[in-house]
Amino acid sequence: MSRNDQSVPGLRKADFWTGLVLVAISVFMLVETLGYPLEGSYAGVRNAWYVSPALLPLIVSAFLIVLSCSLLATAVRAGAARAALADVTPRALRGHAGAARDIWIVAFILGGYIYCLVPRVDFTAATALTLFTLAAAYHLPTARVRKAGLGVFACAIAAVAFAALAGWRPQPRSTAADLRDLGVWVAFLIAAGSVAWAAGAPGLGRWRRCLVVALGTSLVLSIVFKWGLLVPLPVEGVTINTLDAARRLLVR
Amino acid sequence: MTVLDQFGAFAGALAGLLSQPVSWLLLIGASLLGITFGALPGLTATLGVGLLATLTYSLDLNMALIALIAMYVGAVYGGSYSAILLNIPGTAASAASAMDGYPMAQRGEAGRVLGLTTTASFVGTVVGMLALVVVAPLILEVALQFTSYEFFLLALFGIIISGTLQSSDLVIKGWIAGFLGLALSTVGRDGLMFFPRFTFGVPELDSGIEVVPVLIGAFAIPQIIHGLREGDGAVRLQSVGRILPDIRTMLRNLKHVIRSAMIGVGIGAVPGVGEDIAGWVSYGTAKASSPNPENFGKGEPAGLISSETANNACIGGALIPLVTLGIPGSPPAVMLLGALMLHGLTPGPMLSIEQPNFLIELAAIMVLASLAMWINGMLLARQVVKLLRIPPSLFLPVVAILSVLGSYALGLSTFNLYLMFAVGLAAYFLTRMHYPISGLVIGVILGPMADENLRRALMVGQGDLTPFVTRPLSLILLLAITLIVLSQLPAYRRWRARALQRLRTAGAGGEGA
Repeated sequence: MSRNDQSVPGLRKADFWTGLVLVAISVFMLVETLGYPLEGSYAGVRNAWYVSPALLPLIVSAFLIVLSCSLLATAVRAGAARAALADVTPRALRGHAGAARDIWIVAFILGGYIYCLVPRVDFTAATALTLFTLAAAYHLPTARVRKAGLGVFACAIAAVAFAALAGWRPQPRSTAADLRDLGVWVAFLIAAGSVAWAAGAPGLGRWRRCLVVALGTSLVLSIVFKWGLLVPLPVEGVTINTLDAARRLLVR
Repeated sequence: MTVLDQFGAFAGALAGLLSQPVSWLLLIGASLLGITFGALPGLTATLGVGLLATLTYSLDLNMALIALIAMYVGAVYGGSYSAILLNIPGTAASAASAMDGYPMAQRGEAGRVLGLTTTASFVGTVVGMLALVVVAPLILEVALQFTSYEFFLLALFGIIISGTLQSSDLVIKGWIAGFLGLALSTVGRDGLMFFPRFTFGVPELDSGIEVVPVLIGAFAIPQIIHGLREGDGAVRLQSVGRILPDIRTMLRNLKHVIRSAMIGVGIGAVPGVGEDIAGWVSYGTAKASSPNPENFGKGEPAGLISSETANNACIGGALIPLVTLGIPGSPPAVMLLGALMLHGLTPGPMLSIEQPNFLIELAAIMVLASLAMWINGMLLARQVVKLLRIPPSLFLPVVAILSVLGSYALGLSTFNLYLMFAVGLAAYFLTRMHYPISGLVIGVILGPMADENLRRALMVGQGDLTPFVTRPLSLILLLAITLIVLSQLPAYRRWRARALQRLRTAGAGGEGA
């Protein structure tokens, strides 16, 4: 049999790896559950196996172990084990990484937005930057544009993450907080500029659409949620404060 | 309640809804939003209902229900727009509609086709509503006799059947998805002893995993990643002329309409199986029973009418187990269940006692939602169609942000966002490997019901397991689960194949003699 057996469907090879992962998760779940009280009493309530908090997790983990082993067995019978292990070469892994590039781009942008930007900086600015980066990556899908947009986004994420790790948490409505939020807007402008440069004249129409979608959506959503649905935004920074001040002037 | 009383209550509910201008605004607006969601490839009815559930959180129950049902009905219908005009189904439910809808549009009949599909969807929704009103009370009579034993087995049945029917690869993957959902549902402090399970010292996990953000993540993130990876592609939109209701064609195909509506209701009532299967089964049945099956796939109105009537009738069918047993009949119904729970409503047999008019009000809302869908379809379809020119690379990022904001809006917790994204990413990989995500979310939804009822049942019997087999309803459910599992085992399949082969051989030998 050849080292990379092309006759084994990719799905069965994937089943081999997921089977291993699922077995590991189910065994972990079982071990963790065995530490839960199965008798005696807890918090003043008499415990027995049939009312134990461990009952359903035990049943579920047992079924998951059986099903995962069955999945693994199916994959092994199809010859997937040998084929999957043969795929673990630097060249094959590079190939897989290349094929999964789109997944990682989207995961990186959305993950950076959710885990890094949303809890820490002005929501409108964070949304505009993220929307523009994500839209440009796929509406102007050239390598140059992606490098430009993702590069700026990555720098913005890194800066926010570094500040958070260093313990910098400015008070809301303080000058430091405003400067932080303006920094994100500057990152947005740099991203817009570098993508425009990377796209060149032929891509300017699409670049404009990405810009309009990013700015329009972030502003409209912020306004609708904040003043329409009365849902506070995760971080209301310089943009919302400015809009609020403008609203008060107009209402007066 | 006598039939006359029910009719009076129905008329009263309709009048009550119609008398409030806000209801009209919500109906037309949510229906239009639903049609837009359904029409845009990459967006689904499930996602639309889920996002709207977060936006309508602050409304009272009736208003929220109006918006959600109108969105559901509109989105299932809206999928036909891109199916007919682009040959790209907007939702899986309309995949069968593209087979004949697109060839008809290519012939220059796009306006007629949209009129047909609008009327077929309207009829399907109304028939589904009638089935809900007629069948649900009968099921409730039985369900009111359910005790904890039956509810636990019902939850297990829902997970097993959904995994069996929804899995496109190995059936085991469907079951694994369901049990993974059950596992997720055990996270948090249990309801009986408040013991922390799988919280790992994280305080935010004490109250368990918030269902709606998980649902949004499980459906939205895979759609967004998949849609962006597919790329924009060239958009060749068929032009749309006047849209008219083609009643004559509908009447000529009346038998297809009636049969498709029944198929849609029946399939919708099966937990976890949704509008897409209803559409295909109905289409296949229409083709098989047609005197001219060779016309199907070339622009045969019967094909379009069958799939569209069935997928909208499925809505009423999916609401039957939801309302009577608390088990969602389709993926959008899963979202609807999450939304109802957000408003403090627990669908199930007790609902008929706690809110005796709920079913009638739901039926009234469905009638108005289908009417709003028909009005929007006839008057505004040509405007909605223009939205099909928006490339996925522009609207999918917006959907991502809406998913984030919607998940945050419930509980105002960034932790929900972290969970939503993590579950979404995992769901994407599971989807790539052909695990049915609807099975996973049904496990998450039914997990608490399974946990609570199992322990309550065993508490009553002091650990005695025999009532699971001595109680008639329990035994039926247990046998159903056992038969479904056995029917998927390789050994049973081999035995069945051998038995069928022996029958065929015996039959052929008999004919030869």
